[in-house]
Amino acid sequence: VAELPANPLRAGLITPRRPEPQALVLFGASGDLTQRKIAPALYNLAVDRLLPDSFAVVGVARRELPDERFRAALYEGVVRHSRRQPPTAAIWAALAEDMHYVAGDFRDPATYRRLDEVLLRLPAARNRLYYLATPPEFFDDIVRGLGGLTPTPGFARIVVEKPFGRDLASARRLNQVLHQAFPEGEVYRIDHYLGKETVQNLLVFRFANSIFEPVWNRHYVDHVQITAAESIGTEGRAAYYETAGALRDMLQNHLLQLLCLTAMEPPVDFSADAVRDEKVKVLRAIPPLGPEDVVRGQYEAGWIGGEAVAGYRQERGVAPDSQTETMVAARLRIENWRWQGVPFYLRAGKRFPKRVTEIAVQFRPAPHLPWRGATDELRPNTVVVRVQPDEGITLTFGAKVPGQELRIRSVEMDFLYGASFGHDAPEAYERLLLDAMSGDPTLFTRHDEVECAWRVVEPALAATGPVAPYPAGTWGPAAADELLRRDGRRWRRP
Amino acid sequence: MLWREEDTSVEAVLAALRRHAFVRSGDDAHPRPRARALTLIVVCDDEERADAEAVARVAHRHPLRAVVVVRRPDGDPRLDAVMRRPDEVELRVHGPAADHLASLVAPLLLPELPAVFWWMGPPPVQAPAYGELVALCDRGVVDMGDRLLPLPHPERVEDVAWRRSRPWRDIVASLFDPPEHRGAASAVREVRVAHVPAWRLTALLLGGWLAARLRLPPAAVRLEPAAANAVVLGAYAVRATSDGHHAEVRRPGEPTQRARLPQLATAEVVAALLATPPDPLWPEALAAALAVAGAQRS
Repeated sequence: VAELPANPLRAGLITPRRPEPQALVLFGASGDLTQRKIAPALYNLAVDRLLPDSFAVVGVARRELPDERFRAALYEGVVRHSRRQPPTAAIWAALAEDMHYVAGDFRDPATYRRLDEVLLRLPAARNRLYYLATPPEFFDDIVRGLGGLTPTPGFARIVVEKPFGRDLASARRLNQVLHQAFPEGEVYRIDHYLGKETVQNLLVFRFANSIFEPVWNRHYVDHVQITAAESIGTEGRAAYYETAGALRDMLQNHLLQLLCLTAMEPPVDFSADAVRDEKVKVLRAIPPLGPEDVVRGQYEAGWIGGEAVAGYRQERGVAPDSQTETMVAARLRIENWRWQGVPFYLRAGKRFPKRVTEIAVQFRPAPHLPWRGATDELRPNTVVVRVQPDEGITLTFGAKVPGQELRIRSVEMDFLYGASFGHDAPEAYERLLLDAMSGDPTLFTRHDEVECAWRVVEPALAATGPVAPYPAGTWGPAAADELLRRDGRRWRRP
Repeated sequence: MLWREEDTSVEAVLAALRRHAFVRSGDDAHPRPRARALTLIVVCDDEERADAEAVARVAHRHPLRAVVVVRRPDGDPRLDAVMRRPDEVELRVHGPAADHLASLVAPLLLPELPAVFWWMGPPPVQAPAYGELVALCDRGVVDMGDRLLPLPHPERVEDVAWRRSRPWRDIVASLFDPPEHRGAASAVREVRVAHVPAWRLTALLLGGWLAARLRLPPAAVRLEPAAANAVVLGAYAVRATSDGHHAEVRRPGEPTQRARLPQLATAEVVAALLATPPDPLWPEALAAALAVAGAQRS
């Protein structure tokens, strides 16, 4: 095959990243995720002119809806959830022009015949991005249905939402199902934490600077704490949450991803597989969680922000004797040269005192302090990456308190995204949708990554002991504190 | 307004910048210093002040210190200063100092970080005031208006119209993106750029870019006044539609297609100029545009 001549006018041209023409085929188009995240993301991508020149959206869901109502429902999502307000009508109108809707049961072959007809009429649908925003029990049928569509010469990619399986066995089965119709390179498993700017910045912080990486290891780091706290309860998602719990909902995916980015070795380049290879290496170095390394808790009634809130078991859709954990704390080890002996403490929970996600790397104390008595207020050096809210990075270090006497206390050196870069960062879903449209899987989890993560948490899933109660508005049960106390450490108060 | 002082000094301005370096942000409303990545110096005269302020306002979204300098070379020597936001100060420079801006501005630059100047309006390329600023700063942005100027140091100093015309270059380049049209680019022998009067400079710059990229002699580029802007390369053409927001894209043997022709907002141009590296195509495009302009006259 002769090499195509290069386009001389493309050389050196600064062009924004814009994907090829394509159709986004959205399963579960009438669902919550479509309204809250996908519709606003599409609108904001349109505002930033990052959508392809020719772009169509085809929604698929069970409910009968005319195209008009489907468009109106998405628009309502934009009005309620877009970071840019109010929406510009003209931009939405141009986007909505090519939005279509197919009603049908995901199990019914006729649904896919109707979908096929619609797609074959759309010029943009030469390339396709299938998006499964449905509960996982439908994945099987949808993938089989998609396998029966008329093949197109363009690409066919599939985006899968969490939860990706309930355990190692079901995750493996899901991977097999997907691989029947889509090669791994076309499968995009979303972990929306990876789309967050601060999470991507973690790798920049580590690997674009020369002063942090030399101390980012067992010789200088005492331990690492990763916290993902929510102040809300289950917010109407109790039915799903009852079957999941914090271990499956947060720890297996989001927290382990944050751990991977904190602990991984520098990748040789920023290509998808180079980055994901390094993450998999971290996961493989973590011994599966033993029962003594995990604390499961469940909130009882309490107070948050001056308001009385009900306990988990009193919420609608929750069994009165539910043993589902609403918080989990875990102690992990990474058995490799860099991290041997450095514990990673992870915790995630609902009805904690405030919403905060952060990674705190705590360094060892100075080997010798020549100021006797002057250092009571000195805490260890800590680098804190705040994932949300108040996105930024803080370094704490000791400083002399001004005055005649010598006193030393810890002060913060703060970098705050919001105050430094005044413009809005794109939402995680904008970034991830654009990446999937452009065919860049770097920020998506690979099949072996998901399976390795399940392998780590698998033994903890089998835990049958009762959950430890904690009052809403606290940082979890005493057992979670005990997890660190026996190592001579304590949880930070984020 | 945070601070203002008439007949002030650079030291007082610096003190005010330090005093008001903190911004409140986030949940705890704890004042914090902004992180900063560069110093931006916007130079203007009284008539251009509103435009200069608009640039400074959008630039403020980037981590930088902005210094707006209003030149008033006539009148008694005096320096007035106004500070409206943290890290943004406007100086009014009266008298001869207006021709020696570098000495005024140098102390206000953030240590070791890049400095960028933005000269509103056509730059006086021969004047010492301008030369000093080019020497002081790492990068510069100018607005030549309708006259093509032989800018010194084009590798560091770029024209606004060039960045604004990026969507045009994008669409013109797309003419030869389909595999079956790739080869046609090297067969182009003649370039026609039709333009409305206000678009002449951009037309010249696009002509220069095409001449340089397609290795054509300057005389192969023809500019012609027209009612609508267009770039014609033999049988290939891009023509702006009457609404100005679209372009008709024509390739031989294909139906005419429509593409969006976005009008870049000032904020986008500022972001492109401040947050991306210098455009590597600009120096050769400018040089070729000057040659094309010469060929039009002869």
